[in-house]
Amino acid sequence: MANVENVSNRLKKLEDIERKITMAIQSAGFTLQELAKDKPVERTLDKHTNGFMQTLDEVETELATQISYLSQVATSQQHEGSSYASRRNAQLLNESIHHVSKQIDEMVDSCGKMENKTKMAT
Amino acid sequence: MYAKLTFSMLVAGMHPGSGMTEQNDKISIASLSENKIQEISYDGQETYFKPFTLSESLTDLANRINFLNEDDNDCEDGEEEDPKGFHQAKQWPWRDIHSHLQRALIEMNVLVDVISITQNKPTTLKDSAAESSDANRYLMYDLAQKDSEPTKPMLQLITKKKCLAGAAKILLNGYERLNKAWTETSGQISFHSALLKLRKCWRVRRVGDKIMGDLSYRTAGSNFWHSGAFEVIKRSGDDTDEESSYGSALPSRLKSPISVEVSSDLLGYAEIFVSVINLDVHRDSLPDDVSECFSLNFHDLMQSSVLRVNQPPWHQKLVNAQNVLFCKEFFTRLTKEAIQLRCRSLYSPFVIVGDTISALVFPHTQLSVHLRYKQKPLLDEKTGNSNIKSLFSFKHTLLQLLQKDHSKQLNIPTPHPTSAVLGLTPEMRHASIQPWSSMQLDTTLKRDDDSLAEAMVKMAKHYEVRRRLAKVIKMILNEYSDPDIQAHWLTLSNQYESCVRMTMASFGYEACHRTVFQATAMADKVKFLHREGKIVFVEVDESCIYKYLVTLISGHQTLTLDKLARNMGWNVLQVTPRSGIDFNSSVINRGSLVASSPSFDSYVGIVCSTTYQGTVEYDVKVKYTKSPENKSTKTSKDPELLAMQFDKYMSIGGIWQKVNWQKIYGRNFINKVETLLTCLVNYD
Repeated sequence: MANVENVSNRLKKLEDIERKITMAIQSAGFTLQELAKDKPVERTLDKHTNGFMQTLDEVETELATQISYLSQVATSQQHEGSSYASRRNAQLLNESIHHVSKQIDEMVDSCGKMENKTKMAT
Repeated sequence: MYAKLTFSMLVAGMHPGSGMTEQNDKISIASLSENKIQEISYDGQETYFKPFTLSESLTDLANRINFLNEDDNDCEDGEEEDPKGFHQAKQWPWRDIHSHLQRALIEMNVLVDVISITQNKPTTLKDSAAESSDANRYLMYDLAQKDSEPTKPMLQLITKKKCLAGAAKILLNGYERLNKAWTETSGQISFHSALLKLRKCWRVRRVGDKIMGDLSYRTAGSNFWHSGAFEVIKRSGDDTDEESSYGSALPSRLKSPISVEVSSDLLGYAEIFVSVINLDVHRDSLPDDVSECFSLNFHDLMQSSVLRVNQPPWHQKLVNAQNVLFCKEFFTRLTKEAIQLRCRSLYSPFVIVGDTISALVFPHTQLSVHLRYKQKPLLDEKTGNSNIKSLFSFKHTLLQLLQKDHSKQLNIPTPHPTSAVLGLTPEMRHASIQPWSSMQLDTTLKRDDDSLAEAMVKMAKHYEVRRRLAKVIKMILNEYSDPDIQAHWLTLSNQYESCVRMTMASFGYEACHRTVFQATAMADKVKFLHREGKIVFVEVDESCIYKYLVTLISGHQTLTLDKLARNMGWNVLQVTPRSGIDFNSSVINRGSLVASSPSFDSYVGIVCSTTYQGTVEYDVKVKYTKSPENKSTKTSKDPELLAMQFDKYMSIGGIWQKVNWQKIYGRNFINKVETLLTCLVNYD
């Protein structure tokens, strides 16, 4: 369970990084837009450029952290196994259980009917 | 001089004739294209490199001079060769030499000029003598390039700004799109967590910039050709409008950021439909000739009602696709086996037409396997047709066999001992050392034989035999109220054999005698196991089973009579439950009993015969040794004396008389016999 939480936390962090990349793109876009103007305001330009650089730095640091974690945890090869065989087995067994329970239900039903008949007779 | 001489000799060599011919010959020389071809357009027009102007070529030549290389010989040669080389320029063998020499001359001239300028000395050329003394002369070193067009800085600035604006627009558009996707999915499950969820159930890997999945059972040991690949696609903000019917019906919190693309042949729904069809003579009268069908549909665990609510749409899609793949694999496997199989137990060989495999397992019974594949769910049809029942043993066995086969592909048993041949079972190895019969070998080999088609045929046959047995038992129960027959189907049976235990007892005389036997429905025959350990195999024909059961009824009646007579103190003289044929040709079996009263004054002969029509007929006869009339008359005179005299002869003589069976009081046959026996006993 702890592992699942850990994974979801890591995914959240990666999503944050993605979000920051979006922010960086926005800053870059604004910077270029400012530059394209006839009279670019230097202050705004600086602000956006700084924003871009800062976000980029953050992204780089966090990505490096994630990558170093992954290099520790993961193997370089992809996981090739599957749970298909065991899952199918489980499905088959599940169906067997359903079938048996159905039969038992039928037996219980017929027993109940018999009881009722004997009661009626007495 | 030297060059000219050589040329004339060459011409003489070409025309070795007299001097007259030498004069008459005209040699026409066309100039080659002077400029290099830059490009030939499609219409054949040639574009040339423009020749340098004089000043350009001067600069170009100046560039060529290597000022660091000193070679005085070149200079001398150039001066010597110059005038002659120029005149012979038109002659082609000398063209190269001429041009080189000319170039060398010009280069030399330029060199001299340059040197003169640098040393501030007068040049060799006369026309520039005036300038030679000028101290302000200078040499400008420039590349032989044409002047580029003058740049316009304002225009450049505007263009650059435009380009920047375009780039900014692209970036901002991208940002907006990402942001939109972000805000839309912020309340929902994120793409990566959904992918994590998908990864838990399905095999997914990254190929290039795509995420590809694998539905096939290859990892489970399957060898099916289909790759079963699917692609996982991230659903962006724009795609949400084009959602499938699944997605639109779902609440927004369940809209998955993932959509899956399955190859078109795996879309839809499939199931294997196995039916055992009865092609009987009463076919027209029956509304549906399908006696039993079952579908081989694989349901996922996730389909249970609790989980189905939270189930993402892609999961259902993948489950369906995998089911289609599985059904296809199963059917292909079955087809392959059906083609190869020469099943001896079959009535006729397999017939494969399209998506249907059929075979006659019995003369009027057909087994047919059909692969049903539709784009819409098949469940509606299933509920509509009441004839379809789930035949669990079929499904379970077939799936288990396939699974076993798959696992065998993956897990090859290691040879034991390690030096043994791979793939041989211990039994097979022992067979070579031990004197095994071919039958034993056959059974050993067959144990490993997991042919799906054979198993299915065997199951179908067993199923049909069981159906027939049940039908016959039902018929017997309906037709014969005397004796009471109870049939109890055992729940513990396997897919190829099932048992029914039957008890026969006459009402009220259960303690007297009861016949118990067990009937086992097998694939090719019905086995009857009796209490005394006798085993009888009966053919699977309905009439055979029926007749055998009727025989058992008559036997039961005879044996019950035997017990009853003994219990009542009668002397059973002879009892034969099954005595074979009778005088009457319509009788199959004849059971008989002869008993005498305790005082030997009356005899009873009872015959229970089974006819070809499948009925039990009773024939009861009574014989008195002493007629009642005689007895009454004689006893009135002198009874004691007569008794003393004639008692020992009483048992001799008399005739068999048929009993009017209808008039005898009793609930059933045994009861009536009891009444009769009671009446016949002389209590005097």
